[in-house]
Amino acid sequence: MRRRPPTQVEVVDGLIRIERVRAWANATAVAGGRLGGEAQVLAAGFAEHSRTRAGALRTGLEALGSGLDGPAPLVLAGEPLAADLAGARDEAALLRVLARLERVAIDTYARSLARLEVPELISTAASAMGGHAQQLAALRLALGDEVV
Amino acid sequence: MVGLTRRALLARGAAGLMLAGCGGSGPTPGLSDAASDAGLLMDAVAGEVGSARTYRDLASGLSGDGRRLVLRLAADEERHAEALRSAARELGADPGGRGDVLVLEPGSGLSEAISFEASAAAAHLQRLPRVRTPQLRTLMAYILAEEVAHAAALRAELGREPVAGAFL
Repeated sequence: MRRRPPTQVEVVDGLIRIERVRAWANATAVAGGRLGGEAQVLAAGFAEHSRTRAGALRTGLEALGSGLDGPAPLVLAGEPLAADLAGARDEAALLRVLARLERVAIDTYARSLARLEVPELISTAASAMGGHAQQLAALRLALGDEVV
Repeated sequence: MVGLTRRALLARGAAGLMLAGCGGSGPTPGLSDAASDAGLLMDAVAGEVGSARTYRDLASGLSGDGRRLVLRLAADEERHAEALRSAARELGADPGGRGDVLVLEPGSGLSEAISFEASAAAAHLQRLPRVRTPQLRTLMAYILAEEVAHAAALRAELGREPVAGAFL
């Protein structure tokens, strides 16, 4: 049986989840005490950015009269991501986990942009994707990797 | 589309995917959609051609790491232009490019190139909601992400802090 395409609400809901997971991951990285000053500021900022993006995406849906029922509980303690964060031995390893998350976010946004039909949501999602690209660049620089 | 990597998509220019109607829940583009998207594509090609030309010109006045970086960026822009041309061909449009090719003024440096990249990213951002072919949106979004990385690399080359905001 062919799977039906996701609705606009489902696509945006998926992006909101992406942002909530990243907010959690960055906040967890900050709280773990393995990040130095600059990296800590970076991750704390990224956590806040993700909360801001999630809020904007939610507002975008509400403007269309398609509000969500409120955030579902986000339980990540047992997921591989939590193990990756906990298992990162030092700052560089932790930043690499966060960089991997940024790459996944960029891919998810790129795919989602093909599924969105409402111009306002497309603009918001594309701009948010650009924010993730900036964050990935900042992480690569912090790691001493080439940005391009 | 799912399963295609960014690099593969940029290499293939979304070839074969748009006309197959894969990768999006939107309607398969009709003639007017294709014509509209072709116009946007040609503008985007012109932008990429201008960027590549700018970086090649800039490289002639640079040496060392700065030169290596801008040549790398020029190659990226040429790859973007080819991916967009390929997508244009899929839409049945003339991939020769049209529109104004903007280049930096002679004597410009890396600092001006940062603004140039920001303008390129802003142009892609403005185009995206107007693109009707779903797969083309994904291609342009990946190009947008690379333009953002270019600006970050230029900032780093000049010893400037990276910019990272919630939104572009």
